[in-house]
Amino acid sequence: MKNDSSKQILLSVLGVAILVVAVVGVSFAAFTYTGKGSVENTIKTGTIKVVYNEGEKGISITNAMPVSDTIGKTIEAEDAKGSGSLAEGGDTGVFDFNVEATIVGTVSINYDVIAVKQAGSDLEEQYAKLYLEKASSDAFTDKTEAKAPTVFSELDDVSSASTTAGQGAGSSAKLLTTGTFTTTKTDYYRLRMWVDENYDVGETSKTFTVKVDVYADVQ
Amino acid sequence: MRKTHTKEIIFAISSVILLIIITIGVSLAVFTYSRAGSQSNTISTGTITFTYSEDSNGIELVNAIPMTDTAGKVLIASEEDQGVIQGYFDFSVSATMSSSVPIVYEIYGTVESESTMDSNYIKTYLTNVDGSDETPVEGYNGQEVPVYGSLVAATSNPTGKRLYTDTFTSSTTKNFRLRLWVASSYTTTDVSNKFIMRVNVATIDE
Repeated sequence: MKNDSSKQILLSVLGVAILVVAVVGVSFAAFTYTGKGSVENTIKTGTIKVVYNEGEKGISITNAMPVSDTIGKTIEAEDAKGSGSLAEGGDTGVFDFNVEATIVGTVSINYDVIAVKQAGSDLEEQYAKLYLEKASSDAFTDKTEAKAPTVFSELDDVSSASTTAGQGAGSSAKLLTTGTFTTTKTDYYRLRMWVDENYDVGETSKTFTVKVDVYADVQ
Repeated sequence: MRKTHTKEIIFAISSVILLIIITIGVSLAVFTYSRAGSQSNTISTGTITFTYSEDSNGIELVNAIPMTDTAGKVLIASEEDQGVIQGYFDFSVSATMSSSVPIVYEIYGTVESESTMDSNYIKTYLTNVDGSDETPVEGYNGQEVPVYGSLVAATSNPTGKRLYTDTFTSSTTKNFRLRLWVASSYTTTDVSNKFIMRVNVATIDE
């Protein structure tokens, strides 16, 4: 009699357990739903384009003599008048270039204008003076000083550049200026170079050559 | 069922994490630009060679006696009866320039320490020589020839006296002739005095 009772209890407990499991299992499996959305959620990317455009001619001044900053800042494009050169013709006194950005969307782009001294330059860096103007059009009617007259040796190191690539521009490079675009726009620049007035002219002609590089990235 | 649900949860969490990583990665790599310039910008300096050449014979007057400007201006190489061993000193200044930028220079005298003569009694006369033509330069073409003591101090050496200043604007050579004599106003004494001067040339900023 006692055996039958125990068996019944055991069976009951087992049955309840099975029932619980079945119910839970059924609960998990009893309901699924899928609702397909009708509203489209869309991402459309903006666009960024930066282009560095160089002028047709770079600066080319021969027989340049030391001149003051007051005179150097006004060196003319044609024949490099005001550079102390004989200006025989063919000399070019300025280098014009621009950096243009085309932006669709909300973004901020930094750019660096970097001067790179070229191999073969034997004029000491403290006697090569650079001067950079900036304007909103190639007419340069609203020009401002982007970089005051500064000898190459005293230009900012590229570690001050605003872009990662600019910061790695190399030991022969110096930072001329930085800029930022937040909308479609073009920045126009005019570079002048002259021999610093403290240079002692000797019997041997010396040369200094730079090229201008531009780097840009998103802020 | 539980295993499936757990798998779904794990999958959902992994997807979100992956999406975050992709989003950040894309944001960082979205834009860079670089362009190396191709235009060379070059300045080449001009050259200047400046030369001062002296004649080997300097002025030498011994037992010099006072003389008038008229006589002094025409002192020649040798007039022994007037105590003139060498009556004038010739020198030249040359510039070779690759540019037309003006170069200003001055010719100035410095008196040696052995000099005992008062420089206010030494007449100083400078001319430009062009072949056989001799022309007094500016400051020496007046009626009275200046004495050395009245000349202004040299810009390049304040202890010296400026004899003359001029400008080169092209490659050229200029020839000069210097004469010195004792002014007629000097009173000769029983003491012999001497005046020894060197001529120097230097470029200046003016």
